[in-house]
Amino acid sequence: MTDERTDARGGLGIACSNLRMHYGKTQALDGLDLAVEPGVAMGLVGRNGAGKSTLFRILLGMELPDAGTVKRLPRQLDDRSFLARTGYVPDQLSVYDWMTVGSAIEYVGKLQPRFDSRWSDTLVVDLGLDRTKKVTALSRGMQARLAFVLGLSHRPELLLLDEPLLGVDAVSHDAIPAILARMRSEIGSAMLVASHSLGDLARFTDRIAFMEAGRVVEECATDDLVSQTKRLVLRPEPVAFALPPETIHVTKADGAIVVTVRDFTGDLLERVRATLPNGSIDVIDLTIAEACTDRMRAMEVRA
Amino acid sequence: MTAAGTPSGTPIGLVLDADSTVPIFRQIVDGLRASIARGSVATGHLLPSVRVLAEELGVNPNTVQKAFSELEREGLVASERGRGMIVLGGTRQSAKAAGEDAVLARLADAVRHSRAVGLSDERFEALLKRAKKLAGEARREGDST
Repeated sequence: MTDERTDARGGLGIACSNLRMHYGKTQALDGLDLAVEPGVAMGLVGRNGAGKSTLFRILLGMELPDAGTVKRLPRQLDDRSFLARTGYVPDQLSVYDWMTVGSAIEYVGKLQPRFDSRWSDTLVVDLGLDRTKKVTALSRGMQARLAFVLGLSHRPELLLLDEPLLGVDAVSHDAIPAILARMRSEIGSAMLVASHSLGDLARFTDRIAFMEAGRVVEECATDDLVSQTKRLVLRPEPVAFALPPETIHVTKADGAIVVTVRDFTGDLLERVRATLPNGSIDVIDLTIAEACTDRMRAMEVRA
Repeated sequence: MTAAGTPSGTPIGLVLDADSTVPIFRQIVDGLRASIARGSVATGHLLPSVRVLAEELGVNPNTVQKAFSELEREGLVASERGRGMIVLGGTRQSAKAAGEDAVLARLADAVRHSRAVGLSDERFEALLKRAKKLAGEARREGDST
């Protein structure tokens, strides 16, 4: 037992099961299963059109799915109480042009039954916002900070973040992760974060789910994604060679075959070595961006 | 109440690179171990709390917790009820040794990588020199921000 518990104190989670949603001829969600346990931060990675925004709209109660269920964990809340405990930070701030930072916060405060004005004040100060400024006069980075204040002022137990740091300047980029870390330590909030910025996901998340064509095709621990996805450089290029089952991607590069594998272990390396008695094998570590890119390529092939 | 984020790093000088091939968890373990080895956090003193460190680094608190557990397993720190993680006596040398092992492992990876892309060992030495220069410049730039 450790002294400082960072896990959930009664926080919310969600379990989506077999969600289906179509618009016209487009099948936006095609049997999506995804569980975010209380206190867990889940990253959502997928190309544009993979169904991420549709999933967010359903979780926010803005749309009803054609089929499937969303279960709230650990307690079954009605829609209203669930949404009152959910915080949403969109990639685009949507408030009226005439509003100032202060009036936008006040406006949201009136709509949000669990609005916590002291916490909201803390966020405004920590994120360095000026209440008197007009929203239209804010820089992209400041608008993103305001979106966080509006989305988090009611101390939500579940955070839904859609590209939260898109186009954000370096200074805001430092301030926002600190706020997220604080939400997680103090409230034990669970998070679902869609982002193309994989480095950010490496910082915030416990797990990453990959979406493709309306489903979650894979889910793994963020640390494992970086430490257990490797590229094996087989040299010289083997004539006949059976790929290990852990293979997710293969390319040729002058005189060598480069095999990206998941779940890398010493045992896997020995198995590959045994099949290539005369060749050399080099193991290359990957960044999170490289590890994700190779996985996405593999999904493209499968799709 | 703590300030939200210190761009120049933490008091113990931990700087993370989210786009590295080294997982964030591993970077935190290595960074804290190095602080202990340097004596930045002395024997009998406490590491920053999970909450403070997670906020300062802008990372997942669970990851910091995991890093603390790893240091505890290595015998460098011990969890003291109600206080936090305390740096154990006589650990400076072992932290140094463990730190050297970690650097060695990474250099070995770099050598393998260099050979994999067909560079000679002489070329690798030249690149290592350049890397040291590059790291020196990055550090100076980091100091000025």
